[in-house]
Amino acid sequence: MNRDATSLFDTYLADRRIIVRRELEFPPVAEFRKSLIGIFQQLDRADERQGDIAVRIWSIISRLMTSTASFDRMLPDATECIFISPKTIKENWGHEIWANYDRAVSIAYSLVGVANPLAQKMAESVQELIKESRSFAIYCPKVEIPELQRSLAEAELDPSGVKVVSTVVDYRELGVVDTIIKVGPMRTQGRARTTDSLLTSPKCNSIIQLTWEKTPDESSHGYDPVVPVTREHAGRIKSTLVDWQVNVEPVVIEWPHPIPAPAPEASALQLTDDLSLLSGASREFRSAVLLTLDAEYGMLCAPATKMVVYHLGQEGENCADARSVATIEPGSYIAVAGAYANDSEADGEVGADNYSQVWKKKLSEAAESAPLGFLQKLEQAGLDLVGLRSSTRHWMQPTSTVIHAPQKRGHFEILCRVLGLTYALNHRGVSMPFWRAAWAEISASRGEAILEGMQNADMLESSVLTALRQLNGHIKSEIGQSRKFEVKIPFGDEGGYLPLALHKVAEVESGYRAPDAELRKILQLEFIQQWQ
Amino acid sequence: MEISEDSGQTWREMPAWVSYFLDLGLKWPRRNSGPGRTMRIISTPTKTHAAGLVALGAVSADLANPTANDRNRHYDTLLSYARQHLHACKACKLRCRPDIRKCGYTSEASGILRHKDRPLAKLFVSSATDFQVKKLCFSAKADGSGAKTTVEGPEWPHIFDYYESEGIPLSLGRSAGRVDKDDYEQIFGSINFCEANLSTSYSSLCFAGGASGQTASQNEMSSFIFKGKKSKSLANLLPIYGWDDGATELSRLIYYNSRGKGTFAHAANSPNLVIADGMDAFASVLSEKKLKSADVIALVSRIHERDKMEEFGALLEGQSQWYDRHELGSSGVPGCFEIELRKRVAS
Repeated sequence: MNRDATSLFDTYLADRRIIVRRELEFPPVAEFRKSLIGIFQQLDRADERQGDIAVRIWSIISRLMTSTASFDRMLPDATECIFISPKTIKENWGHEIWANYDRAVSIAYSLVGVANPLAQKMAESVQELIKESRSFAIYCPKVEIPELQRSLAEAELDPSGVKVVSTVVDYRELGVVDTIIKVGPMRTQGRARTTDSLLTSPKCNSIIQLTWEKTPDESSHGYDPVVPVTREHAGRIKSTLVDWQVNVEPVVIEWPHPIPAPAPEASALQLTDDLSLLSGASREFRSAVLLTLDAEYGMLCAPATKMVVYHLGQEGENCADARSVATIEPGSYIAVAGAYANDSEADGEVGADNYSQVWKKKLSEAAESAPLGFLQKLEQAGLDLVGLRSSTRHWMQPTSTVIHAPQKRGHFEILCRVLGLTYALNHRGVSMPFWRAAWAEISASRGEAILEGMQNADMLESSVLTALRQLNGHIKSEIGQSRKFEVKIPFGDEGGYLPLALHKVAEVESGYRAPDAELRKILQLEFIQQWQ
Repeated sequence: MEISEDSGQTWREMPAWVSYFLDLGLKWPRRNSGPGRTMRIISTPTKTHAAGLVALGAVSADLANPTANDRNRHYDTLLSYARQHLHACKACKLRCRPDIRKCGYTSEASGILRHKDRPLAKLFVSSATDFQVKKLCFSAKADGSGAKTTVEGPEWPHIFDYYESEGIPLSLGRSAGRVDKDDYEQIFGSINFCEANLSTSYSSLCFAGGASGQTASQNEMSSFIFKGKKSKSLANLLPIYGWDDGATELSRLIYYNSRGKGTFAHAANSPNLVIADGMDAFASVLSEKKLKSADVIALVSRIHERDKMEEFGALLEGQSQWYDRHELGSSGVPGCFEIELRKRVAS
């Protein structure tokens, strides 16, 4: 709720508003982007592995667009990780891709330690506004806020006095200011994602936009179904209510060092709107809300996904309800049901098969006895992950919120094969390969349970709600400060049980776009970040 | 008159936009029934108290309208309640899941009646009730025994004293206060209020709150204050049952909760005007059976995630098969834009 609507309405009495678009022309960044585009244009997007490469390129460029951080090792490291096996790029991908890759890596290394011109220009803009006693706010992605504050501090500006806007909620709560400094282009996804309201419901009369050259705003940005904006004339964004005049100011930043020349095949490459070119890599994504569970794990869900939520400390019916993810409050617990089983099972340990102990032990032995050889075997078998070494170390960790394991089923199958776990076993009365049974266990720990023959969501929801209300006293006395609490609840008419895990929600954050297949799974936050 | 938008921290003379929204509610042409529903959608640059102000205007208009009370249909309401109890709820084994039972009702009719001056005592609808001749019978005990009362028709002088347990009293009990017309007159000037309405409930005006729920709505409306002889917040002035800190038990504005499946705060007839506070409220109102023929004034903020804006766009687009869209343009408030969806009427 805006507590000063009067001031906001008054700003609409102004005739025209201005966007000053400062486009930074910085040769090494421009050439770096051109090289990455050169790689991208050679890829076959129908090939899943090549699609992954496109997404990695998109991630690098997306970050570059809005980051004010000084160039550090991250840029060359990320560039080197575009391909799994950098040493064999020429053989595997051909000369042109290799030449572009090599040039991009070389430029990235030459930038290490160089101050980011976006940060310099931002600090200059802030100083200018302070000098003119104009109120302002800075619009940048949440993940960039620490860097932004560091950049301000380095310019001897007090970061605590600067309002920062990253999300729709921040923007809603922002009062009227004279100017908003927007870092990066205005896009609808990725790190440059900007609320449409910045244009359609302005809270300022001027925007200073700091971008690299040739990074236009997305033409569909500024969507409003009631009062549409148009871009019929160059330099004007107009609707019945707002009239933005866009003034472009090129800013040339000198770069005294030589830049490697492109390969002859790539010499004709032009700097283009690379984000639009690459955005096809994530076109099939859908909007999602992130429920952060702890420092390491979270779950993405479509905003309308209905979940059973447990409220610690509440009594009677109020202790549990079913609500859409978008309305879940931090501090409450989400109920994640595991795989159904009935009493006839021998051990009665529903959902606790302990296959993970077997493969984790094997993995530790293999990784410790011959680390390099083992990693090489995994790569050759097709486990083409960036940072394979750190990933395997992570998989070895004991089970916590979930069973730490590869995110993809195919990768897990390869892992088991390389570990020699190729035998079949009897899993809940069905004969199947070890990897398949162990994957079922991992899936259940991530909340991907399939209720065999009982996929009636209403029935599940009502059973879970009833059980939580009945067990409220027990849960309250046992849960303490735990972030996760496990309990078995009766389910169905055949005396069966469901394992139910209550996960405490630390934070709820909207603004993600992720593939359908990755929703409703407990995943590593690091893995999830690519879909911000 | 001065107003504050921030719980009394800062005060200013009542701005033009506040008067605009109050007037919109006050002057909205009310329809009692029939086709030709109109939905006015006002796009605002941020979430404001505008929905509460429009509702306050409409409440004032109703206070001056001698027919704006539930007296005329009160007897029919009690008979419908008795019919639902005796024919559906009494024998139903699912308490209370209309979504599963598919009974066509939205909530349970327990068959309990109460008296406005003795709200804790229960009376029970009796199976001796005869719907053919519109005769309502109730008894002192649930099994039909005890003192029996038979009401032959709406002319019975005490009929307005009784109300259904899930509802609210039609008229105020001896112990309850009444709407203070001074509160409204200091905002709207002299209005010819109908005295009877000041102590009588009405369920034809509805306020649909946002997805954050009724408490959040009430808190939001509490922060907007009119400064007069007695300073009153919007939450105090809107006669929603339970919002005036127990000052009265009156309801002249029924609250519709958009959270979840959408529910009325208490039993209601079909309202003829709904003020929807936000996109969620508007979407929920469109899917509510009891609100299908009501006019709607929806206040929607433009600050939302892209997905939500697209959903709202699709919702508006979807109405084009039944409604004609009229662009009213910039409204009387800078930064606001109004459109109207008018239902096509077969000629």
